Amino acid sequence: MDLVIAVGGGGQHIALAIARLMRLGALSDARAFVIDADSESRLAFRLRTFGNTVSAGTPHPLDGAETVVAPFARDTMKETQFRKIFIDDRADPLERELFELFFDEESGGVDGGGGTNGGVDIGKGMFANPSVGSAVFASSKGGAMEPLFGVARTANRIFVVGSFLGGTGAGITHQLIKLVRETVGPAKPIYGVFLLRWFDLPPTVGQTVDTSTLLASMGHGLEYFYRYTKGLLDASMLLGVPDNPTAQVKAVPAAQENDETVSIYPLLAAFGTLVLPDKTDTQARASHRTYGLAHDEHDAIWPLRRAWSVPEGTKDATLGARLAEAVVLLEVFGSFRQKDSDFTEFDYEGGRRTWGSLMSNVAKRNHASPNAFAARVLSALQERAAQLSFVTHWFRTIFSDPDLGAFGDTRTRQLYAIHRARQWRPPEAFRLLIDAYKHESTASARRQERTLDPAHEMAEKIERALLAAMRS
Amino acid sequence: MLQLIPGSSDATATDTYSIDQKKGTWQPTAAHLRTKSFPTPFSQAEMMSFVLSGLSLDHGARQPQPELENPRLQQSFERWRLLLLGVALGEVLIETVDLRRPESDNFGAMLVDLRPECRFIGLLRDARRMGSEGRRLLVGATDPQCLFWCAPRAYRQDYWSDLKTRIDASADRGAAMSLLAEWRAVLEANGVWAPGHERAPAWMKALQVLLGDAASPGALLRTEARLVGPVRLVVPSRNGAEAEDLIAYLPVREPGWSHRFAELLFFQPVRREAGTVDLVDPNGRAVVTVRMSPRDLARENVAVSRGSGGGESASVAGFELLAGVGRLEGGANVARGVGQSHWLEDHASAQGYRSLVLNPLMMAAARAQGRQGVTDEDVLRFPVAFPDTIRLVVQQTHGGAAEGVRIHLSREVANSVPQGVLAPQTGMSLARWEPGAEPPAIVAIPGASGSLSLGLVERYGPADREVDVGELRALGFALWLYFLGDAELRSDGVRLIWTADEGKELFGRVITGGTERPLEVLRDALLSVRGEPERQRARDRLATLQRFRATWRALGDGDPERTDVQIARLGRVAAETFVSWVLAGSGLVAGNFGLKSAAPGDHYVITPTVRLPLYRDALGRGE
Repeated sequence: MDLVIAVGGGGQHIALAIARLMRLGALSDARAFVIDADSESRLAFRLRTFGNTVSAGTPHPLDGAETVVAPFARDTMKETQFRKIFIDDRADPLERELFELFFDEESGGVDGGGGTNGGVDIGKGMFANPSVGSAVFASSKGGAMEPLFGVARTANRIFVVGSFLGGTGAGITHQLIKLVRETVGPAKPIYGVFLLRWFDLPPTVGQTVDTSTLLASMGHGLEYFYRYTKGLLDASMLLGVPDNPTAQVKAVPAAQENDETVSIYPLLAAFGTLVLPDKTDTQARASHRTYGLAHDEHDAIWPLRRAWSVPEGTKDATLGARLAEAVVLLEVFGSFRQKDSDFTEFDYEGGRRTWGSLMSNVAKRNHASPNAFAARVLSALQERAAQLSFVTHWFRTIFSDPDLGAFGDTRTRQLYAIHRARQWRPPEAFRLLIDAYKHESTASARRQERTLDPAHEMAEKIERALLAAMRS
Repeated sequence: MLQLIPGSSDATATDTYSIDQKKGTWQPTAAHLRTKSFPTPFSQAEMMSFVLSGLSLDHGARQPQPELENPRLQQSFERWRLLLLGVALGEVLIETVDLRRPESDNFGAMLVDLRPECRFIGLLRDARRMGSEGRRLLVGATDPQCLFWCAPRAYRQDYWSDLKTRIDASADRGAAMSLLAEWRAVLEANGVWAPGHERAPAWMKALQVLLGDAASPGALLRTEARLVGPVRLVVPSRNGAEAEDLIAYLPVREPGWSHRFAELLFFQPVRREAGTVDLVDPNGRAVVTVRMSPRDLARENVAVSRGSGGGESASVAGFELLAGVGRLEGGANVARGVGQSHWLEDHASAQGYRSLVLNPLMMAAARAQGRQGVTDEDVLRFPVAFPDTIRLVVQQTHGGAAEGVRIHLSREVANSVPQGVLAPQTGMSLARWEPGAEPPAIVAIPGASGSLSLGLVERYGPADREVDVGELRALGFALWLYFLGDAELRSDGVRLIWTADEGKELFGRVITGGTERPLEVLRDALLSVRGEPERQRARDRLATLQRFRATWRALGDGDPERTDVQIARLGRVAAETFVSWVLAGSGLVAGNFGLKSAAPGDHYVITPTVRLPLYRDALGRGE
């Protein structure tokens, strides 16, 4: 399995995009390791819970993203003031001199200093200070990152995603790549996808971090990347707002209170993880090439037209097809909820001899009544619908509710056209459900390594059977 | 298709495109340069490298000064210039610190973990101003890419304007520039100077901008400069591949330094258990110390600087020199007492500087440079790659008779060395002297039993400060007296006695400091050839003098590898030197005729197999 290492805020945005795409089946399975100083931010919460949709029966699409690991052993730190991590009352004068040689008063503070004289308090963030972030990370990398190294050793390929803005990601990404490369050796492919400037901070008074600060981090981070880090990666991709952007690729205002900022750039970064391995000449890995992506300003939904990972059974590998399938599924799941008694009592044409029979057998094995079991399956399907809704809402925001009528296999297109025409009726959902039963035996739960309860397992089977029916 | 990259408004026909070159527009403007945005604790050094990289090598180009637009910027070419000239003028000192030492604690360890090649960092301290805790003010540090970077808090002490005043008002500033130009010329001669190279490090570009093409190298490096450091520097690869590291020492102007250093060779080297060699005076007091192993090496785990991949990391190469091996510790302005022996070479009872210091340091330097060994020629070719404890000795050794045999000096010679004149180090092998050629000024006496020979010195030193010793003509004078029958071997055979003058001793075996020298020309003989009476007396016996010369001129031919041939040549050189001295300025000419003596009357035994023949005049009273 591939490993996605998401670093800092930029990395979490990309990880969220990857998770969404995995939920659609547009990206293959991967495992994530997410690193950020603040694991309680709104963004981190959104990633950890996949928009508050994750439960025991409806797992996170991106395994490992449920946890955000601090880049340093914050829990065991007695002090969070950057200066005091290194300099205490017993520090040798030489160490004190060295510290003050490397860090000015603003970053490193002064002895006995408090407030603005105390230097950076990393407990409150890195304040767009990659230099401090890198020092803190370097001083405690061993313990905090050890779990990552174990996962990295067993991964097939490794993708490091993040940004060169801010303090945490910009500060630690370079060191992290160096450590991972040292851990896995030269043979394992490591790719990097990094966001440059892709959002703007609101112009507020008195803020220590503004857009020019981010641009400085970007510029100096790139300087460092080209000198030290690029050569450690098999290939890398850089993405950011061009000088004369069209509306869709403009820098968006950063979300308030460190929430997710919705933009096309994290999606494109996720696309980078798909195309980079194909771009890498395995015979010339030493070239360590860096790529950029181009935006078709005449085709606003061009990423939907590109081929992504191809799920089983479909003839259309585009992202638009996966998104259209998700939209149809949401209509189907909505109809089940609307006609919940029909669903739970198998009161639809052919319902009792198909899904009714199957669910009755499972219910019997679990000492439950068929109708009660079907009710639990319906509930599980609504959880799955919530995840799909979390995904489709994001795409609708990015692409302004695009028309997906040209995407997907024949049945998908037919059903999407009904949806688009606002003519969807619940019988369409139950007809599809009956057709899906033909695929029941092959639509087993995808995550074989996870033990789901029977209702959630059945819900996943139904979703996969529905998708198979749409693609057949 | 629009390229999604900051700084671009380009179009492209494909989804993806290669951006393997850093775009200039990604660089923040001068007003937005922000040191803490570099993702490394070494951000100050990175910023200095960044600023220096922006300099233009074009002649007459106006150089960028981002510090004028960005007052928060602590790194600038101007301050870099001040630090470099400050070092060259001795206003700024380099103190090398091992970041793995316990005093550096976890902050130092963190820095080394990140950049193992920076384990030994040079701290720049002001030579005059004091900082905290009784230490000199810390004003910067060294770095392989930019050479020097500035301490970000030094400006609060109003430091930079103070240093600028000192540097730019210094009368020696021009000499410092000339010295740096000479240092640059050494790099150029060794193929590592390429400031215009696309991979040229920032420091090289900055030095080129500072010196330009106008600053011409002087001749200060050899005699008027002390080398400090070393520092690890990135240089363009000589084979065009990746950049490589160079361990180099930096020059500090210090008039008369090489001469003062030469004085140190009159102090006996004594190895100490602390990994040092002390140079001690006759009272056994250390006057200066040479570090021979890294401080605390026993406590060091050298493996910590090895990469996890198993190969040696950059920090291991050059480990010893960077750790201070070869460094001179303690004051080097010492006064030599009368009669102190020269200790470059081994004495019979004790090892000299070459054995105890020079050879081990040469091996350490070889390891630092990843070579099997380094030779004197390597040192002469690339002197700034070696500490003064190697460089100055090798340069002095090769400053006298080229390709000579290393010699011990007599007490007379050792006492004659004036301040500012290098003591002779080598003498001509008599196996290489061609009979009939000009007699050499310094000879190595055949029959050395150890690694070096006894030397006899007629004169030495540069033309304008030549030191006349007269050992060869004094030996010739003794042979002349024996020829006349006025001298004879003492009964024990260890001295030639001037029987005609109160039994004065002319030459013989002496014991100095418990060490026996089998042949030393003695004081009375030397005094006789420094005055006119004996010269005039010899001139009055011109015919005898011709027979004397004819006798010795008949000797010395034959297989030069045979010691009897070599020792005969010694007598011949001494005799001819004496005769030349006698006749000089007199208008007399000695003819090439006269009755030669057929056989020696006796032999002076230097070693059992090396015996100096002594001849009597065939027509004299002794025959």
